[in-house]
Amino acid sequence: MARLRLEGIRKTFRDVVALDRIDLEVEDGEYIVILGPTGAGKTTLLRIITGLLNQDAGHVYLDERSLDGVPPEERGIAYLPQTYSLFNHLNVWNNAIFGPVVQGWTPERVERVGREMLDLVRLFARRYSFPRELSGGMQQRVALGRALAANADILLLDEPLRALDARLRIELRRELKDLASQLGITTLHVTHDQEEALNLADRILVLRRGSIKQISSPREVYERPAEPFVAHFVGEANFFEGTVVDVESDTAYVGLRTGQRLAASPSQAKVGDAVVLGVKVDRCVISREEGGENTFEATILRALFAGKRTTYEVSLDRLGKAKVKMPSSAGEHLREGQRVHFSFPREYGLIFTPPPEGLTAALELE
Amino acid sequence: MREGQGDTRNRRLSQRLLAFLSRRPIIATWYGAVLLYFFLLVLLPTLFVLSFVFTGWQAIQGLLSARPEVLGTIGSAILLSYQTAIIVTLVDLVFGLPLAWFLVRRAFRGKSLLNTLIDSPLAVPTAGLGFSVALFWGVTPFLDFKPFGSLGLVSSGLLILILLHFTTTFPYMVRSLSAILKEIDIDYEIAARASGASKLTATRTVTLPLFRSGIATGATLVLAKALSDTGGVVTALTTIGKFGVNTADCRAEGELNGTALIAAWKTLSDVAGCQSSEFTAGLALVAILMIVSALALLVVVKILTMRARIPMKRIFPTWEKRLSRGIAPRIRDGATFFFLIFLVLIPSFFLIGFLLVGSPEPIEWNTLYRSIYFSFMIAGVATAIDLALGIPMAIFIVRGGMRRLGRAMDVLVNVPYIVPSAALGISLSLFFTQQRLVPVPSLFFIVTLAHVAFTFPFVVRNVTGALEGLDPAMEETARSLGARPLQSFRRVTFPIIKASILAGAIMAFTRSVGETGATLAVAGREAIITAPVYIVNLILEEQNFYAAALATTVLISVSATAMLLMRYITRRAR
Amino acid sequence: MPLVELRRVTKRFGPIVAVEDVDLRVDDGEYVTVLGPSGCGKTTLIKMIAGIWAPTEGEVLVDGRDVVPVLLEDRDLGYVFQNIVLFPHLSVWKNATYSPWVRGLGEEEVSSIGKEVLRLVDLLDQSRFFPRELSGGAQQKAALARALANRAQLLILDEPLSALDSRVRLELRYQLRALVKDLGLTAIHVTHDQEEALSVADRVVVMRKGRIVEEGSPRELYRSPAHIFTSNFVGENNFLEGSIAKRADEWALVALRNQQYLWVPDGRHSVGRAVVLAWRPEYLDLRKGYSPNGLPGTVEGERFLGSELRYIVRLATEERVSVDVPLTHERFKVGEDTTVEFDYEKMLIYPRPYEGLEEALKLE
Repeated sequence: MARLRLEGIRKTFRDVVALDRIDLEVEDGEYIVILGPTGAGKTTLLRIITGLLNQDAGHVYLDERSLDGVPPEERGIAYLPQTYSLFNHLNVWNNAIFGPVVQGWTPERVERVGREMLDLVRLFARRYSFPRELSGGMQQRVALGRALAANADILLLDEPLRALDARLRIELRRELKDLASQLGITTLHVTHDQEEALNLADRILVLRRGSIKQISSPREVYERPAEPFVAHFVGEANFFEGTVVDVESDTAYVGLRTGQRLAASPSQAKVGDAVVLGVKVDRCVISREEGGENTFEATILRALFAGKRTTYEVSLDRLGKAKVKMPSSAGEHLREGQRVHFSFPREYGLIFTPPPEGLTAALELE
Repeated sequence: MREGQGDTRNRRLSQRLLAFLSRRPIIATWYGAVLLYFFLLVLLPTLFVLSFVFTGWQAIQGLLSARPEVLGTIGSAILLSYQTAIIVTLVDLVFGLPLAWFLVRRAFRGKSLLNTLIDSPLAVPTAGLGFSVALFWGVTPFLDFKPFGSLGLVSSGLLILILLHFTTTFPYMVRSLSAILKEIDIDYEIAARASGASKLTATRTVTLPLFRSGIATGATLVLAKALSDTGGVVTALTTIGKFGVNTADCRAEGELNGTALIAAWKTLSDVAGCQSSEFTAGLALVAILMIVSALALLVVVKILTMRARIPMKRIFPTWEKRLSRGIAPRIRDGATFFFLIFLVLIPSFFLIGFLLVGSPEPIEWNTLYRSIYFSFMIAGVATAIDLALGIPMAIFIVRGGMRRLGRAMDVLVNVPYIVPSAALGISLSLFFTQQRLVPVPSLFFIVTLAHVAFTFPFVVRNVTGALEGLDPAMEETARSLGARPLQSFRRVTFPIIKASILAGAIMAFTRSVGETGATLAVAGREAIITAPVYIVNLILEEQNFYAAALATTVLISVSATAMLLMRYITRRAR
Repeated sequence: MPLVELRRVTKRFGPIVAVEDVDLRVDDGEYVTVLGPSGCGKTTLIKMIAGIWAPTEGEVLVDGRDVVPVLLEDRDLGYVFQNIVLFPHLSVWKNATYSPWVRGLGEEEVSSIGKEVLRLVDLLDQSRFFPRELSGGAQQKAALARALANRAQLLILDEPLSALDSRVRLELRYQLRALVKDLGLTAIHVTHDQEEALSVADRVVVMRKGRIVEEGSPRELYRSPAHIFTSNFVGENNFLEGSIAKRADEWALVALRNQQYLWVPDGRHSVGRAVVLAWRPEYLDLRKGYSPNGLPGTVEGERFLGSELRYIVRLATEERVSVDVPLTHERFKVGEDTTVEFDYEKMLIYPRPYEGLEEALKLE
């Protein structure tokens, strides 16, 4: 039973606001992914939760117990830092039982837990090896086993897969998720990788420049992004600036500066409001045949084949560049330089209020 | 069952004890005690002599009006010190850079052997070095024969001091340059060369600018070492007949630099027929001038290296390319190794050869043993104190959480190292004779404190270096796994920095064993005879070169053992 | 005419063989990626092409000329590093113009080259900044500008995107390929990221344990990888182990685990031969009820991947497979029985590797 609650966390370094108004409630056994670009404050947030850093304002509660002022070793929160921080002078076994030993458990219990955890991460056979003798993936597993052995209520993972090869990362995602759900441990996982987030999370918290942009299920975040940045960061999106010209019960119509009219799913916006219409690149289609609604004439600039999917960069006549991501099998006949029709179904058109700092600034990834 | 319970109780007790010791006030008190000791017993005594300007102004004025020629003597002595130090620093830099490059950037067999060779002069106490260098290069008026292989060329004090300090400082220069060069990613050079820059251009425009701090550290170490040395200076000058103490006239004679002057006057101040108060004022004056000018010079060095405009705007593609390949680099490497072998290594160990050709003379083995015993006692106690205070100090500097104070301490810790040790000795003895705060049990105590002051930086330097290189996430992870700060130090930090602590301790120990200046300045030549002081005495009073060589060789073998031990341990820990 | 050619190149570091007996051709104007897991020798390979290391054996030819004795600075290539390595003490402008400057070109020429390369990477307005003031992506773009300013025809990219955020990585992929193609450069790009390798390259070379496993166009490698390691390393794959029980013309009956059988198109393997069948997740489908082209299984999990849904299914053979279906596909609940249907046209079949499947697929 471990619920974590953050209330109005704020942290500044000198004059720079690293975190502001962070509220979060994590249910027992939940897997939360904190997603955001470098410098968003993700690691700062984790360090505040562990107690390695003190917040300027706000509170951290674990099961209604306030953790303010409690030193890290008394919080019962295991932390796996980005670099793993394996103790290089200790072998795998002594790394794994570090927590139990310093907490003064009985030898029998230390023995039992160490064995259990190393079995769990499939490294019991390598217990006499030293960290430097292990591959990157194994090191990551030792660090994970060590964190789990400390009998913590909450597990904090800071980019646990970052140091690994891309392909291995995909493989270990599943392992990580299986492990967490098998133990039922409440987990906070920090990453900048949107695919990883979608894959692992029960809920995703999107963090940018120190504040929360959205907390919802992966599907919500993907399909109902709270603002243009989220739409663009989690799966790319195309954006069109325009004005609402008509609103019907199930559709809002947006007029572009070129005079074209696009249909989108309805929103709060009223006729005459300036809006930004966003659509995920994988919800767009290009084809040589005349398309359905929301069609533009376009030219294929470049095709980037990525295996399962191919991303096309196209130039929309009079509007500039856009991207389309389609299953590779669907685009086999498409070539660079070809004239095509670009379109997207109205239910995937998302209407946002224009960001005050301007669209380009609002979409910046770094 | 009962045992198990006792076990559990013990464990609980130790948990509670750890929790108690890890509490903030306890840790804060500990830090406070360390800082207090440092300020009260290291920094204050080191700089105490500066207060003499106010308290002893009349004495100084009296001296200057009674013997106006004293000012000239002091001036030329200090000038000689600085001439030597600056020339040595520049030459060391010229030959140290290619050697550091060679050591760091090239892979070759026997690298560790070369490293040992470069470090080997450090095993010789400077008193022995001075005598060895002078025997090799200098004319030797006291010797009735010319030792086999000796050159007998040099009779100038300046020249012999320069030649001496190559041997005492070159290892420090190469060591600090290569330590920092190692930290500079070789990819910078590769990137520059892939852009079309020849090796020389790449080095000049990319690596050197990134290397400033290395040059500053190396230059500082060398300057400080060259300014501070006493034992080597006294023995070198004596051997070529340029150092004399005229007890009849109460005058120092010869071509003396700052530290030699201190040694001479200190001897005279103990002579019954001379006016001791005059010498006290004189010594204080020399010490003040040397301390102030040393600190000023180091600030200048720092500014020079940081502000110097490298890379220069100009570029000479053809010339630099030509100098980067073919015969030019070979000439450079050849010259570097010539310097290493003929100006550093052979002069350093010439005295061992002298043992073989010189005619055996009697030596008082009892005095030698006693002096070695004294040296090791002092070095041992000083190193123990260094460790007890230096480690917490280093932790405070790196992890203390008080950034400003930490950084300030980082600078202040080096002050006793930079201050010439003879001047430090003067300051220290002045402090302990004048202050009433701390009871002074014995001269031995003051000498030991002096040794603590100038060896302390070695331990702190090494440990801060290791701590800074250690990822703080290590300790943080340990904490989040449930370890108290004390536990995380003992189980994680300590095992990792153990090797550096040991390296620092052994450096402090060998430096203490080889030191002459401070010991002389505090205790004179008779009261406490450490091994280097004994060597100085042998040369100065008896001109018993053979015995001095023998004593030095014994000391070398002891120090060398310690150094090899250090190499072995640091390598194994890695 | 091939621009870069390696002939039987081997590199040893003491007893360790980093690259073994590699032959490689990169044609003029070609964009080649060298793809492989950490420690496969890919970085050693390009360092030999760049002249940072000399091969222990073999030849490195550029435009038909042996370049092994040629010094790095005379090789005329642009090199981009994984860890970026911008000169920290120089501004972005000075970094970008470093190459023309050290070559002693005139002031005007230096500044025109600087402007041109910084415009190419869209950093002209940030040229006065120092590297540490830029974001990771911008830093790598500045490093790319520095490499381009060398005016070399050959660009060597050593994991150029690995240090960046994954979302930025995606963005820079497009720019990298566009730049190389627009300028007509030859590029050799090393990476461990299969998607990156596929999407930027004309040709992908897969390396493992110091040797080249396989090479081909991105589509070839994805669709019909010849080697079973490639089939898993380049794109995910599902594997079923079995042996040929019966043959009929171009079809074979494969006996899978747990007495499960499947007729598959195969004319190559004889009866009794142990084989591995492979399908990518998107070549599988789920349906309710029986299907003659499928195997029964139980749904163990469902994940939303953005563009599609992924079901994890435990088959009757006790093997776990991932099935990717469109978002509009009929839904299944965890624990529900289902049938996994196979697309036979997209099936891959391999003889069972002698070292065992797990060992053959090992990623590190």
